[in-house]
Amino acid sequence: MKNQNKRKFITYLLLSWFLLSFTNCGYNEIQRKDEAVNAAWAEVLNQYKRRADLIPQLVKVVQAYAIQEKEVLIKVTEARSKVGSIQATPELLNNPEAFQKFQEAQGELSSALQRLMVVVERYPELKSDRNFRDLQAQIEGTENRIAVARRRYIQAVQEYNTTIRIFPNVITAKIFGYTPKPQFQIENQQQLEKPPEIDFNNN
Amino acid sequence: MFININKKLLLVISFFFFIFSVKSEPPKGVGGNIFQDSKKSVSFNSEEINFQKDKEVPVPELTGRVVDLTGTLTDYQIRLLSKKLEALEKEKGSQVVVLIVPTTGIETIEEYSIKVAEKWKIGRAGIDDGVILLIAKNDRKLRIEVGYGLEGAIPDAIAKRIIDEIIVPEFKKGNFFVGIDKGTDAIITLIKGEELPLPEKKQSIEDFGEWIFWAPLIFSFILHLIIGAFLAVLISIILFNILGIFFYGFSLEIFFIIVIASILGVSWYRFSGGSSSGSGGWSGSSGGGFSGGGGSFGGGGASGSW
Repeated sequence: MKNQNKRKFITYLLLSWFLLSFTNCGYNEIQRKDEAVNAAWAEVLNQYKRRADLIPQLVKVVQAYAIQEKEVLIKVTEARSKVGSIQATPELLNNPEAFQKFQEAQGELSSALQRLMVVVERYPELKSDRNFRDLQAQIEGTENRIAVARRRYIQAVQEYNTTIRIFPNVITAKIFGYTPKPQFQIENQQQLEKPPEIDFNNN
Repeated sequence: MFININKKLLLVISFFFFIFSVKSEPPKGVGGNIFQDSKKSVSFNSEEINFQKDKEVPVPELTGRVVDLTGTLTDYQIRLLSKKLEALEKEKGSQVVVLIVPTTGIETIEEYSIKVAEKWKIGRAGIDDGVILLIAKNDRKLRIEVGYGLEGAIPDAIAKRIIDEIIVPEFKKGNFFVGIDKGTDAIITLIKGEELPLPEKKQSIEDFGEWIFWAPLIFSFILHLIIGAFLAVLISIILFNILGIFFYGFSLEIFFIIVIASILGVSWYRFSGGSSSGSGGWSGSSGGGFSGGGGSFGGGGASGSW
């Protein structure tokens, strides 16, 4: 008798847990995580834009010092317009190809900026120019903000992707068409972090 | 027999508590360690236990407004700085803290700094008016981490200037206290010039002491004799929360205390031992603690080295 009661109890317990986990089948949670991803992405775009907006002033200040490595400046300007030409919207998240292109463009801008900063090291007056120092501080600050925003985006996407993959949410996700969101590729990041090589002999 | 077992159990449990409380060493911070002569360069705690250059460095506990894990500052200097920062919080509501670590380990100072910011949550929630002055002494690097809400008052360029023009010159001469003192002064000046929401008069538990506990308890007890336990608890919770919010603004702690007190009011006499254990500690416990206000950071600020 006791065993039967025990089994009943456990069965009911399991059944209620099972049923409870189906309450709205994670729909609400998916919504929340989806919104979190969108918010995080908006912040990433925000910081990328902030960086792009700083570039024209930077170029102007550097140009006033007539550095010899003009092509570095040109590369920065080119990279910036390339970034500007890509429509940076939330929709990028749904288009993996466009997302990849966007990432590459931003990565090129990062490299171009890094090269510029290395070149500037050779010009002490430019380096100590007040305007330049302020701009440099702003760009460094923005780069840091980009890094933080990217990290938070990665976390948000991890949570979202996990949420739509676990059972039973996966069913809800399929029904309503929620697909995994793109992650920042690690290979991309490694490339971003590689210090640029400058050939000083060519000038 | 049942009572005997209880007593034995109690004895065993208290024995273990005693052992554990004796074992736990005092915290790693400078604060009360009598062995530290702060003129010496490094605390015997920090280098060995927590800080290694090739590993991740854990975020220390927020033990106060000035956390010095290198023994650079004397107790007096720490108190001086803390008082100054406390005055700022009382006046403007913003929180500024100073953290000195030997090294940020394998991470850059920016990576470490944002970790600290996310854990400590300096500044008020929603207003995000926190600032962290982080110094990695052996790395010879420092950073001013600025919360979202103060990015207008302390833009990156200004933070960089504070570092380069005010703090670093002093650090280069080895005047760490002066550097930090002047640096925090500059930060405070900028914050004071900014329009921020006024600080809330923290009328929390310390002001009305134990009444926040006793009033709902007595009220619900008396009421439940008339209209039954459930209604009494419900009415007590609603009534006292309304009063509390009306007079003191909403606070989660107050809410919970009212709920617990109301429930205890109708059930205390069912416990054998009496349940008034909680009340004694509250009126005293509030004053000393400092904690982050829930502020968030976005990575703004500036770094420098000397």
